Amino acid sequence: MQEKIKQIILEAIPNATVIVEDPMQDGQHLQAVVISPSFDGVPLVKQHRMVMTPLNDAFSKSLHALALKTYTPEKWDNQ
Amino acid sequence: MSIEGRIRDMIDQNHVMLFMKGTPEQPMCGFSKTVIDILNHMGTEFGSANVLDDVADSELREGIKKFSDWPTVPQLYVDGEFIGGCDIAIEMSKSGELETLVTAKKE
Repeated sequence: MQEKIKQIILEAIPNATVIVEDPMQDGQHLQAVVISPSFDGVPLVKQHRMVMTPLNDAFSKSLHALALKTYTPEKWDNQ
Repeated sequence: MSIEGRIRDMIDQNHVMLFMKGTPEQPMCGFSKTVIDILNHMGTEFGSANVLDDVADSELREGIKKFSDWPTVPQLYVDGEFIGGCDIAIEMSKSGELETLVTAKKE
């Protein structure tokens, strides 16, 4: 599941660094961190759409419990 | 009025508008509660609508998802513009962007 999510995100945003974790180890509450220069100057809501839209298309049931964080490389370095 | 029209009215009439599960006093979901906490902490006034209240509006729960093209609730609007859900509200409150947005457009 984690690997599949990662692949779908990478297909949509090939230049991204993607980390998908399962912090509660229940296979349900997954957490994704996506870092990409493609997010430069893009509003957060659009960044999230860029990740979530292909995921929602790939999974019949929306990934309700996927906590998502998106960063530009610059923002990632500064956090 | 159509569900789209009712939603449009709500976000037009409220500078900050939250579509949520439950009420600000009694949130029915942790994500909704988090956004309420953020808004309360900023001390901003906001409107809210409970998507679980089938008596008030049985179409709202699905309607708002379609309206925003966003699959989950809560959904936050500022000045008629869709801001995002819980994750985005947290990020933008940490960075100060949310407060800027809420206060700058107040006039």
